[in-house]
Amino acid sequence: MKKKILAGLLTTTFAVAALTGCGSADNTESAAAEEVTEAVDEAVEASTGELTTIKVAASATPHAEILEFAAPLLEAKGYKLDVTVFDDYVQPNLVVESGEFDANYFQHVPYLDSFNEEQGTHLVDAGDIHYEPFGIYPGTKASLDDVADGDVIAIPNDTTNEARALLLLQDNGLLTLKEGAGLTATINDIVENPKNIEFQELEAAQVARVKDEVAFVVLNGNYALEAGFSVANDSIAYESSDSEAAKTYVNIIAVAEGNENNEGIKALVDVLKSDDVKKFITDNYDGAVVAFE
Amino acid sequence: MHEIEIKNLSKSFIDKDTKVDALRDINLTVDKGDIFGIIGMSGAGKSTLIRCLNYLEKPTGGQVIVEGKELGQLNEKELRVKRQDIAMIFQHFNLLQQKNVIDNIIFPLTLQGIKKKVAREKAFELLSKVGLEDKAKSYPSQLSGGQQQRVAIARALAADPKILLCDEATSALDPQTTASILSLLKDINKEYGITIVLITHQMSVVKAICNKVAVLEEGQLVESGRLEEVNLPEDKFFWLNKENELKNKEFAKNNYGKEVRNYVG
Amino acid sequence: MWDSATINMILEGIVGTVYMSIVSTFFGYVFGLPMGVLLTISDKNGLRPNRALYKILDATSNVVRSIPFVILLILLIPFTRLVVGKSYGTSATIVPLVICAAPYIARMVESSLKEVDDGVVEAAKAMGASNIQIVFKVLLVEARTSLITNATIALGTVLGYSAMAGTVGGGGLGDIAVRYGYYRYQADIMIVTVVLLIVLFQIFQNTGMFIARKLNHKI
Repeated sequence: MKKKILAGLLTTTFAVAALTGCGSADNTESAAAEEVTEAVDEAVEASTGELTTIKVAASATPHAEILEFAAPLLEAKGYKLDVTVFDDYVQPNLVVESGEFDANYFQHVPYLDSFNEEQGTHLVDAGDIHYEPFGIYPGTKASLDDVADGDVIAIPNDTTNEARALLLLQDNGLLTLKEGAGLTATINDIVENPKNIEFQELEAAQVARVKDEVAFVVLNGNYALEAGFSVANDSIAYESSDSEAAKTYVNIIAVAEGNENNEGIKALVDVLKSDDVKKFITDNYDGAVVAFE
Repeated sequence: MHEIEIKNLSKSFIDKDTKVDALRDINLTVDKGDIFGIIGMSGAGKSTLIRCLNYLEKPTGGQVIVEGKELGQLNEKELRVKRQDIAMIFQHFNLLQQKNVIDNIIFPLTLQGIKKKVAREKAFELLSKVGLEDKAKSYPSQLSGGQQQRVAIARALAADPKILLCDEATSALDPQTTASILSLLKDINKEYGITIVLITHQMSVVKAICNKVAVLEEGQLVESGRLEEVNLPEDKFFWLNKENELKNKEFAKNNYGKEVRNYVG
Repeated sequence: MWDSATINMILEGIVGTVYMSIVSTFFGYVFGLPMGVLLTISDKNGLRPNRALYKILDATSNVVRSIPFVILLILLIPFTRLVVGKSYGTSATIVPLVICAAPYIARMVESSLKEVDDGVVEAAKAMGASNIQIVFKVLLVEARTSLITNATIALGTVLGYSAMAGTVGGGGLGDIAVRYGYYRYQADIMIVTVVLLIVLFQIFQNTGMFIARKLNHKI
């Protein structure tokens, strides 16, 4: 009997402690978030004074690399950039939502929108930085001028990649898609195919492997690099900044709603869109990463 | 020259670590035109012995000489040719289930590459010999046991054998059918001069048609000779019918200290 | 959504699936049947026991059967290119399908042949039949009902595997179901293709069983 009472007491104590613990943790967190916000505001007020820190969550490549390059440039404007690399695509959004980080840089708008919807977060696009373009690469033929009747062009078979490939081919005059087919286009949406090209749909990873057997292949940058292509030198054509795909799949700086006009964030976006950063991107990524205009 | 001569035949099976002597030092001669019965209980080695006569079982010692040729000296191909002279019928008939009666009878002839037309004529002849002219197009599963054994006999005769081996050929049949099959075998023996060697556990079979008999007990021959000269141990072998089956099992168990497992078979 | 392009795609899918399944199963038997026969006769109670041969065939069939089909599809690309001249498309899918199906077929053939009554084989031996005659005139003939039933099962299994053909652009209904139904959430296309697959499967199944029953004379 005594034991039972003791056990009961202990349990209650722990429960209370745990509850208190949680509560205090919550307080600290929100306090910390407030502090950050205040700090950023203060920094704006006194931009010549002490450096203000901007904490950014990012994917390793190319995002964190670009940020590291941007850090000294940003320092000149009075901000210290603190970059943390994340391996997954969920945490970076959660830490920005919670206020632990000021911004993240790893995703495109469609992903952000669906994340907001599913997780109930309130994150917004603060600036469009770069995109990773789809390109047309040579197979057995090196120039689109050589396309002959019945040539085969290999394209990925999954939803967005197939559509991006078809849109890119359309932009290069090889086909016409149905009005409004957009980023869900499939080969069923092709309304004109003047050269009678055969579009061979394959698993994305498989496309590069058939390059010796087809006239051209249409690939995203990372697969092209893996297949030994130089995006800058080898691609016959790639998505331009004003293409629907680039506009949609541009990688963005995302921040909590309401912070998009903070001076610090604005400065970050400005630096990332500066000519220096653009040059860095052009010089270092061989065309697989392109600065968004 | 003897039709079949068995000299010092022995056969042992090695199963993992245990060696079982199925046959020990068997000496036997069968003459042309004999109906030679080998009688013994289940497990006595009868089946092994008859299978040594066409080398379905290769003996571990001794010789089997058929029409002057020692089977052990023949190569694979010669042995196959020799086997065409030594037909065999079985307890469970072993007909091809997916072929009709006439095609079953033709089968050994097609193995020899004989033209189908010639083979068919012969098959119909044999079919009428065994009294099943109307069953040519039937399949084995549509026939009774006795009918199936008749087809098997017709099949065995198709290749004009000199010897017919009968492996418990009537053991799966009722007494009436047994009698009719036995009389068919006797006819064949007379008409074609075919030497018949049969194994059985049924004394009635031996008494009904055999002119010579050998008694096999635990892998050894204990008696052999003309039917009237051999002292047959009447009490050890049984008429097979429903009434005394159980009694005999009991009897065997009590007298030989072991279960007769496969009594009917 | 149900424009002529979509309907055409589905019609082509039916042709693709039927073509892949039947041709792959056929060639699966071209390799699997002899392999199954060899497994049967080289086994320890077979017509010509050969432990080494049996072990090799046994191991080969087990190794191939353990490799996931999608991986086999990729691993075999150079070989496929050698055989059919290209590594993508419907014909290119047939090569890995055959290689995947052959060991299964060999196993099924083996089990069908082992069902044949030993007594019938013994009778044939006693008549002087050679091993080759026993294989062709006894084993394969006596086992034909079981062989056909198993061929029907093999055809159905290959039909299922052909759904993964999309990886190398093989097409067919399964690929359409995956890409439109799964990737693109077009439930109507998925339902139609899946129903068509079920219908095809049933047609294969019923035809096979009908033939097997017709040919069976054993009760």
